Amino acid sequence: MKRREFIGEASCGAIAGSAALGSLLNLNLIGKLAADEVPEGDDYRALVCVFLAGGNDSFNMLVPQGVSEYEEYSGIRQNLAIPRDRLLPIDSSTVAGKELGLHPRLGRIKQFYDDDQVALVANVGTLQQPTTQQDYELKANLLPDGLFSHSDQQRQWHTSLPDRTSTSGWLGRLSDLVTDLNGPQNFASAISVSGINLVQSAAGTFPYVIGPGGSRGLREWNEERWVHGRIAVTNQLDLEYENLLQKLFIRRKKNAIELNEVFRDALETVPVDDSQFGSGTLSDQLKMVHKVIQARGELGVRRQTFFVSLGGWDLHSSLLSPHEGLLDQLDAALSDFDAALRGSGLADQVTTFTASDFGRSLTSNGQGSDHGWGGNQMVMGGAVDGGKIYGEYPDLYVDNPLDVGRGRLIPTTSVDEYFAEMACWFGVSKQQLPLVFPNLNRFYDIANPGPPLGFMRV
Amino acid sequence: MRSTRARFWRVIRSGVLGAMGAVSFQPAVALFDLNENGMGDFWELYYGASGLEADEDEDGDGSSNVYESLIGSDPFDPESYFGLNGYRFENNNTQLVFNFQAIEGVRYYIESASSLHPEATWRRDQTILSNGTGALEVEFFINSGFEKSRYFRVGQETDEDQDGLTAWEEGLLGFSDRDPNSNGGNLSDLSWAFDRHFSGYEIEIGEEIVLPGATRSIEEASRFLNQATFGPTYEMIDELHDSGQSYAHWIDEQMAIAPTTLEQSIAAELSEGAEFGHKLFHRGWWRSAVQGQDQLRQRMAFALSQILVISGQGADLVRGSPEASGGYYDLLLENAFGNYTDLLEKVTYNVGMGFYLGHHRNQKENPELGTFPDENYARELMQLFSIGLWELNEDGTKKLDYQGFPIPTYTNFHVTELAKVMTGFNWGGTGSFIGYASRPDLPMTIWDDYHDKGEKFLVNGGYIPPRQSARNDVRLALENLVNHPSAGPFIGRLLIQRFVTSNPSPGYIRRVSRVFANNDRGERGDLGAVLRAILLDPEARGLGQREGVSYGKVREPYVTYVHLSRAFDAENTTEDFQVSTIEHLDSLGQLPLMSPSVFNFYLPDYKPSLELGFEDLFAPEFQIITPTTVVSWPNLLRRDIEFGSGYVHANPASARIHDYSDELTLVDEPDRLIDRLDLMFTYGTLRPEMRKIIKDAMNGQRGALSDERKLWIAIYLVMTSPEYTILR
Repeated sequence: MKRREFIGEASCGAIAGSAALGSLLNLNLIGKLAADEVPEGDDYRALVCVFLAGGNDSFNMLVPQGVSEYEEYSGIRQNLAIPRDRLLPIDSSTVAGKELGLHPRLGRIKQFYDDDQVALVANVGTLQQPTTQQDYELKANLLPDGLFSHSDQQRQWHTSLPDRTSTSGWLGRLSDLVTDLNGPQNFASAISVSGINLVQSAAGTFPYVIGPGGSRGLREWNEERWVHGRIAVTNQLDLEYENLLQKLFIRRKKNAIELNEVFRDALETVPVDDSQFGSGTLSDQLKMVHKVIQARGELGVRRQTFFVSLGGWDLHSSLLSPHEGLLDQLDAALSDFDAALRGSGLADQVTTFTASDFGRSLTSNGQGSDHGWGGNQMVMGGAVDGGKIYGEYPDLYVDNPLDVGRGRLIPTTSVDEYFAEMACWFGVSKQQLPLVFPNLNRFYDIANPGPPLGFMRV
Repeated sequence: MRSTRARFWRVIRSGVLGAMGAVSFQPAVALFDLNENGMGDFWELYYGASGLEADEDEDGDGSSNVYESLIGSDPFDPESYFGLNGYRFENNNTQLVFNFQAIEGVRYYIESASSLHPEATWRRDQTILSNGTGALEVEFFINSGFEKSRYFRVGQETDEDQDGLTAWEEGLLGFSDRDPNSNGGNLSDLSWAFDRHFSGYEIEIGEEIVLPGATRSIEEASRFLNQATFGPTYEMIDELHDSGQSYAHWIDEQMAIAPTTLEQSIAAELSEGAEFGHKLFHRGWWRSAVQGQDQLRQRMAFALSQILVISGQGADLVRGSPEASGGYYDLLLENAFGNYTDLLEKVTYNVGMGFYLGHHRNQKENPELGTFPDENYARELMQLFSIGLWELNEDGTKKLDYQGFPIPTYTNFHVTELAKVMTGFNWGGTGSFIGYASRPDLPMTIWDDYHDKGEKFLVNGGYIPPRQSARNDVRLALENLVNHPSAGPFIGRLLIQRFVTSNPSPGYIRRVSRVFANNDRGERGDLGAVLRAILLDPEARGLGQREGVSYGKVREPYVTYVHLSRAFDAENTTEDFQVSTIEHLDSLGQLPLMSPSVFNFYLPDYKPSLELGFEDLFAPEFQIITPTTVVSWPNLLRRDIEFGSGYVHANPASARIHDYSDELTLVDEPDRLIDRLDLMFTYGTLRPEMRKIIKDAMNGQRGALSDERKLWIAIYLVMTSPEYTILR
């Protein structure tokens, strides 16, 4: 297989001769890119997952604004509806017969959208296969496991495998495929600024977890007065243990100490960053992501994934005002991040996307909304064919054919299609896609000359 | 689990009419089985049968060894087994004579039924106690009350009281197989045997045969206390060892100690003019955890706070009001050994929980406003607080349907139904549902007029008829959940993970589930009994099990931090406790009542499997052992070892200085110092290589260290060693 069928700008359009074979377990062995096939120059690409933990009420993020569809919206949302005149109108010509607007707190995102830097993907969610309301009622085994449960739905957004308990996530599997681009087992191929996560974990990839302040080391590690401590700890970590938990503890601690040295040195090479980030947990995390991306040369990575998250979206008891606050933070953090990337000339090489446990019930429980299913997501970056809405924006009226109760909507686009689009851009060929997304063929035929959704420029 | 007990009955037809048929019974299994070979240890000892394979038939009498162990027959004697040799009718069919192979001391029953339908009722017609081993003839009189067609069977019970000791074993021990609590104490017969064995006492079985007690060294006493407390002091270990007190006795004493509540310290601080705020809660928590004599209760409350989660991240009331957070924690302390349904009821009415999961001010469906009840509490109550997502067997494995799929315990329909139950709550101290009173110190009140009074369909076929009172609805719904067969294995496993091991065997979960189902006095959900069963189980106490590669658990980082304070007498301080909360959460990944979500700091099913290429290893705490915390945790310990517990940058003088006087006298004899630390922290498991590493460090690689620095580095290296970090 030639490199060009695999990586690069035309990757998703090209179809190579034979389908790749293999199981997920030895993924890192079969799909590797040979290092000598890597082109010269800075072909760096990064995917940044912004996880909105708790379940974003995203039908209040992307909202019908045309008269009749707004009536349906306000009819089901009741006291949770945003006043029509406050919505920020956007071009929704890709959605037949509907005029849509953005939440009033997404002013800067709206600008990016208008500038074609942001795309929206409508009613996306976890699916085992395309599902109808009849399927929902009669075929429980064909539904995602643990539907409406935070932990299970988060897990499935991470794994893209709603029909099984997978121990690997899709970004991890993606990193495994590009191992050789980053050098063998490069720890910096997956960086999390928000804890250990499943989405970046796979057979050959495990997220390197840092904080918004970077990595950490043992106190006084390199100081002369602690040399006895350093020797002792080093010797401790060289002992062998039979017990798996002890083995794992040693391994994690040893890795952390060694990688901190490498990582810290790499970050010290990054020139002082004068980009402007506001305050807030998400801004702090994305600021660190920007810094790490600038150290990509030192870290020897050409393909990187990042994981950041913002919690607090599980707004059962009080939706409107807290949701405004969260969207404010999201608007500021994403736009600051975009500005910073532009400043360092990296906007075309970094794609940032949102993910969340689920959408929420459209009906009101008094002051808030409950766990739902399909929801709307945003993708941002210079490589995004923005200013458009992808997927099908659903009808919102009570008891519509997608409504499985109280305005919990069956997704019309699967997470597999949503993610596969970005995996293609990252450099995976179409015939490799099933290695990352084993269920993809239930939604998208890789022989199809078109892309899964089309929101990445090819 | 195969149904072994079914084989102990031999069904016969009356001869007048009838047929042979299969009958299915609850399975019996010998649970006093420390070598886990499926055969009870008392039986093995009695017959000298410890080397046998379960599925083989040593004496060729047609009964496998494991079968013989359950009925109590001699595996080396081909005459000793149970089986029907024949039967005949006599005296004009008025007398039925059974001839069967019997074992001395076993009770046999003749039962009859009118059909072989699986649900037919078998009536126990006659009882025979065998006084010898071999063929036994028994006459049975068919009186005129019998219908023409009747089926008879003869058999024996193997564990009638389902306490895990077989009928034959109970006979040996002098207990009754009709009462799971026939030993005269407050433990089940099985727990009695475990406790006696692991506490080092012999158990007499029959004449001149004795099961010797396990070696209960001082290290074993320390290991037990490391599981059951926030970390033992040297004195506690010494005392438990010297007294020879059994583990169960220690547990009983602990359970009898009144709770060291947070309210006491919060109220005291407020009366001294302390500033109102969430730090009052954390200071109170530290006082209770470090100084409380009720250590078992403190640990149980901390475990429960990680199952019945409320958090200051997500509820301003929990973060801001020490009365709300302290009140909730005290509720957990006070009910730590109580009944689980009662605890869930108190949790349901707790206003902190009401705010955290949103059922405070939750009201019935309002068609005019188009609103429905909030589902949050209902969902997490089922998913996290009681039954979990999947129907479980007694041993914690998932039940499967006929197609081999796991079976969900509930659907979204059940969530919306249970959400109706959870309507009508408001602050306590008001006169109505819409009234306002800021009373975090009171339970919520539930108001009938805002409560959904329609019928509700609950999980497992539960049903609440319409027009019940709101309070009654809540109680019925909680009873429905706790009575669900999944509740025992679900909650039992979570508690085992907090105290003993991340990967309990199915057998361990089964033994604990049994106690959850019945505390041996007919009560379901007795948390005190469940905790006893967890700590006295062979998988907690036994030596062999500890060698398993997936055995044990990561000590919770926060528990180790408290242990440091306790180990060096910081409990005796009278100074103010300073708690640097943000730093704790950041460095340790834990802080009481401050988890990132209702899913606690880590998930019970977190699997770091791909890192080790080992598929089936659960390790919840490893979810917070990240490349950052794996170094900030030892950094925090080191700072406190050197500067005192609860050191804060802003106020270094307030650190609680450790009392190292005992340890400092040993610095010149490093072996003795290491012995002492090894006993306190690692219950004698430090490897020789580790001891050498510590000694070398104390010697200093460049120039002599002061005595204090020698001690500090020794404590640091012990408390950050794999031997300490993994409790096993």
